[in-house]
Formats: sequence, C-alpha cells, structure tokens
Amino acid sequence: MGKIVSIHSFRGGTGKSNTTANLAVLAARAGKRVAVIDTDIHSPGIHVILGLQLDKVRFALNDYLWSRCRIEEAAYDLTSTLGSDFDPEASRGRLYLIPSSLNAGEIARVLREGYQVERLTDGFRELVRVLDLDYLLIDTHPGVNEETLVSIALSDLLVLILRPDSQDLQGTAVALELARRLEVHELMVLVNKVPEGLDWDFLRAQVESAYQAPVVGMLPLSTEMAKLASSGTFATIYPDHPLSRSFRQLADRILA
Amino acid sequence: MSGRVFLYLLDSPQGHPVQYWTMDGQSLVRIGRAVDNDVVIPHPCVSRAHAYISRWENEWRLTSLSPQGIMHHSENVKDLLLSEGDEFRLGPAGPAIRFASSRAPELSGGQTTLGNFSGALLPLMLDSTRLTREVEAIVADPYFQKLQAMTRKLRSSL
Repeated sequence: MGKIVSIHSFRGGTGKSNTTANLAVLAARAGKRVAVIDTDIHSPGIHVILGLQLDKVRFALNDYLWSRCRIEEAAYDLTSTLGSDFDPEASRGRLYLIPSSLNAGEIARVLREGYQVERLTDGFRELVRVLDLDYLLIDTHPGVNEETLVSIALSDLLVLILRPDSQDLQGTAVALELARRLEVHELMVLVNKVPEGLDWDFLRAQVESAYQAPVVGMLPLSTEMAKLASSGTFATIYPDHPLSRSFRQLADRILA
Repeated sequence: MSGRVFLYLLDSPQGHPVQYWTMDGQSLVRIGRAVDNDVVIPHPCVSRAHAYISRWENEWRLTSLSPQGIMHHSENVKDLLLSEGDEFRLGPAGPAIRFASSRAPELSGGQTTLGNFSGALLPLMLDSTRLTREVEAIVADPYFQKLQAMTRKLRSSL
C-alpha cells in the first residue's frame, strides 16, 4: 500500500507523538506493516514512548541525511514490543521506528545546515519499498517551517492534531490551508485533550465549521495519560481503558 | 464608530461565532463566496459577490450586490447603515453575520449569549483576516513556491 501519513501540530503539547505512537502500535497489532519516522530532529522524542533506547542504536535519521548510511539501516524493528499476545508468525503486522539522534552536536548541525529535501523524499520512498510498508507515519516537528512543509507536501494523508484552544485553532488553520495549497490528497483533523464536561457535538461542529474539514475523532484530556508521562504506549499498557478503545477506533479510521 | 470593527460569522443556532474578520483602516470590504473577496464565505447560499461594506467617516454601510439581498430584522434590504451589534443574513437562506466594534462580544455581557458559556461550550475564535494574511505571506515565499512546483511534479509522475 505504501501510504505516507504526516501527523502534525501547529504547537507543541498537543499530544501528537503519543497519538502517533499509539496509532502505530494499534495498526501493527491489527496486521499492518507500519514504520514511524521521527523527523523532529530539533526535539526528537517518539523513541521514548516506543521504548527504543538511543544509546543502543548505531544509526539514526540524521546519519541517513548526512549520507552516512542507507535509510533501512536506521530502521529498528520494534515488533517484539507489540505485546506478549502478539504473534509475528501469525500476523503480517510489523512496527519499525526510524529515530532522530538526540546528540546535541547533531541537533546544532541540523539547525546550522538544514538538510536536503531530495534526500528525505528518496528516503521515504526507499523505506516503503524495502520494508514493504502499508503505512509510513511521519512524526513532524510542530509549527510551520521548511522541514514540516516538506513532510506535509510529500504526504498522502495529513492528520492535524489540536487542542480545543484558540491559539491551536488559529495556527492549525494556517497549516490546513497550506496543505490545501500543496494539494495533499486527504486532510483530517483530530481534537485532542478535550477537557471534561464539554459539549462534544458542539465542539466538533465548531471545528468542522471553522475548517470546512472533517474531524476524524476527539480524544479526552486524560489524567492517566499525563501520569504515564510518555514512558510507554498507553494502548499497550492499558488495553481496556476507554482512551485505548478510542485510539483503536481512530487507528481503524485513519489506518484502515 | 471609528477604529477597528469586527464581522462575526454566526454559524450555530445559538449564535456562537467561531470565525471572524477584522476591518481596520479599509474603506471597502467585499463579502461573498468567491475567493477574491475580503470576507470569503464558502456557503452554497451565498453569492459569489454578495455584498460590500463601505466606510465613510465613522459610518459603516452594508450594500447588497446580490439579487438575494440582505436580511435584516426579517426584512430583505439592499442597503443598511450598520450599528453596533447589528446582525444580518446574506440572503434569506445564507449565514448570519454580526457587526461589532469589540472583540468577542459574547464575553462582554449585554444582550449576548453569555449565559451559554457556562463551561459546556468553549469560546473558540478563529481570526480569518489574520489567517488569510499569514497564509498569503507564506505562499508568496520562494521556498513555498519551489515546494509547490516540486510536489506537483512528484504527484504527476506517480
């Protein structure tokens, strides 16, 4: 299938990386071949949620971008973390992560030199081909900048995550319009961290009306998620929690 | 009234606006479905060039360009001198818009729907004028244009 899905937020703190991690894990458990690529070179983090210790890896996305390795050499198979009840012999599902380096020197170099768009484009295509991916999920840096625009431009599907907050609403509107100008094939909006006691139907109508785009789902502000503190994937640790059920529904809708 | 004025799109039955536009210094604001308007409303019942608001000294006047006219207090009018808090509809079936000189009139009391912001509803606001300005600035940037050209080429080669 090889669908490239960018998951983007205008501001930090919307729960993008946690949502991406949970969706990836659930899609893999459902039998999809999924890779997550952390293009947030400025502040990499999804590896923490997915449980990949960077001091144990040899290559990261940065190494590929500086032509120090092939991209598949920076891809780590995390299928064994999908849960003890997951049998990779019986399921097609796989989970890979291409992390970004947390090395301060690398981060400084990226900020100074930027990186080539073409190299990233080629990398995405190569990953889909070599790993026979159903989905390549791109966990982007928040905000609108050259790197995030590239990820958005190369995506088949863009999922925009925002909190029910006017600053998020304003910024996400910019990202959405830019995605339209870049002719991204599919656009979806996900409202995360919805406080308790709100009229959800009204909130959905507000957002859909402002954006003229579908709200694919809404997730509640969760104390349990906050207490997990990005130390793991929520849906794996609390599979019967209502939030995990919501993640499963979302995974079914977005990564069908 | 002088200074900045606001147009709020009242999309919901209770009249809670999410989108708004600001006018500050312009003497002419065009409203309609077509994208070259200052206030673009992609509603099927709105005409491509539906109306315009013109400012003369401290007066704001709404004039209809559309055969559908403007609904104001259940009357269909072609011309309307706007007062603070005035609500009008673009044609008999189009969306309602509120004209105001203050930001977020809902939260300033008066004859507003203040009672509905009891906690179940959020006062989310989208500044569409600022949105258009920011998007156009990014889209005009050479980097963005290069990216647009590159993605068009990529998509057509698939």
